[in-house]
Amino acid sequence: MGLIVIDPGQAATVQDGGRAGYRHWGVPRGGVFDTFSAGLANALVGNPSGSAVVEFTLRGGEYQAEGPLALALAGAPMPARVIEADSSIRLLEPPTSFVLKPGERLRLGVATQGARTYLAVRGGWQTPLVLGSRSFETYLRPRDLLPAEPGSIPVHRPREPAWEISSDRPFRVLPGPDAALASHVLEALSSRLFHVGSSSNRMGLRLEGEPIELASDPSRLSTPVAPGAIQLAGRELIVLGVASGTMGGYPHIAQVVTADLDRLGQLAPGDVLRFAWITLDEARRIDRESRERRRAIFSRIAMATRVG
Amino acid sequence: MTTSAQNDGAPIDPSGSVPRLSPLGDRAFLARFPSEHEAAAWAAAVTAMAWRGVVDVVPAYRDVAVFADPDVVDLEGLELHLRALVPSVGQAAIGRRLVIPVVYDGPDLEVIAGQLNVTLDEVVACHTGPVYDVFAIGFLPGFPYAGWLRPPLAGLPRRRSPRTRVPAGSVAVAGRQTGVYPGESPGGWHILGRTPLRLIDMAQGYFPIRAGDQIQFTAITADEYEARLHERL
Repeated sequence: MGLIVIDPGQAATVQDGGRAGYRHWGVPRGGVFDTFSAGLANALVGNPSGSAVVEFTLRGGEYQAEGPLALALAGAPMPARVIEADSSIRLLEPPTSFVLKPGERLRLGVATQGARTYLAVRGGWQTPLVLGSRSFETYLRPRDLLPAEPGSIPVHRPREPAWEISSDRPFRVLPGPDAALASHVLEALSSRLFHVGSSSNRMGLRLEGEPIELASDPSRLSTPVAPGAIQLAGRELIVLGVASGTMGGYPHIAQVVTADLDRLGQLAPGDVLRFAWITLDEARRIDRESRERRRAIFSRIAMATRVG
Repeated sequence: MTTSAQNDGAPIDPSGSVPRLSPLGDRAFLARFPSEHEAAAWAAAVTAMAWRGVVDVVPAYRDVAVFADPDVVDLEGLELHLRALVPSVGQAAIGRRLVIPVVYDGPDLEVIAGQLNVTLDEVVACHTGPVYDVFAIGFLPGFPYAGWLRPPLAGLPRRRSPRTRVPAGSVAVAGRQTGVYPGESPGGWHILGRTPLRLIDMAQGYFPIRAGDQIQFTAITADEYEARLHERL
């Protein structure tokens, strides 16, 4: 019982809240790139925020139900339709919960904005659990089966939050541990525009812009890093993504604040982005407000879903 | 912009007990020490405190990162605790010593011997001689960063063009460091040989090498390699 992959789109993986607490073994946390959108999809089917979802990148693909499934879609807007057994078509308007009957297909197009869309199922996808998480970087392939419990759910479309385009606002940053090495890089970071490079993925985003010069230090030792770290790799800046390794050898110039990490996951190649410095106190306040806001939204949705 | 400058201003205590602590983003801290030994002792002390809300303590050479969950712990309060923490003498746990068997037939062995103007046997002797300290586990799950290499093997720059595919078990060197690739990965280090042993088993949560352990390499034959293939370290 579950969902069969017909066409896995551009890069679809199963992700959840990731593996917390294994960095000292070199195991990154990983997990969904846009935790808010994934949490929204989960809330719509009554799941806890960290349940396993499918993460689609830029193009969703096509999937067929093996049984009745209670599903929800949220995240980057993608054309979404259900192909019914008699080939008639039912349009979906994400974010939304919906049901696939046995044999029905979900067909997802190309994201019109953003980069990542999430598909939740009531109870979570029951793919293998390793070190407390179902997150894997392996792309789904045609004929893969995503196991899930059968279920049913009324269609529910939350009125908020409105979809926000990631590159509309600057990404807020704190100085990194190596900021003192590179005052001219700090200046460049907040005064220039950068383009997201085409080779960007869950490991990291390349920032294309004017080259930046910094004398390299070959004796430099690797040091712990975290998603959102902005490093100077050669003459180019990179921002580490959610699936980046636990250690890095390049100078760590700046760090994207936690509250803006989800938006990193919604940047597509070619998007323009800007950075703005804030203080640690502001970053912690924004982080707190962001966590409170998401808790409030998810609990409202959970209530509404229960009422039907 | 002023935050890290304030925190970076703390002087390095000559006894080495007080770290230079700076924020690593808004939910973590990075403590920097004058030596690997002090960093390891402090990491062990933080881990031993088992503070609620401390998600991960990651030692790496002279640095230690401490990751925290702001839903569980007040980060300003945690920072005060971290700044006040003084490891007791001998707190860095005595690590285990692990022996890693290696067939020295790696694709870079001959080139390195040529560059250094030594024989293959001399390269092998230079690599198997020392007992290495493991300073960090990272980049890949279970990859040990160990050192230090001795001359003439020490000091090779990374390969100009990294390999896109380094096989699991590859034993490699770069700069003053040596390491073993637990899984297949891209990599820029010079490959001296391969171990038959499995260094990790993710599904079983098996990670035998920890920062603070010591590793030593021993040369084996290709037949011994076949006999021990997939055995756990």
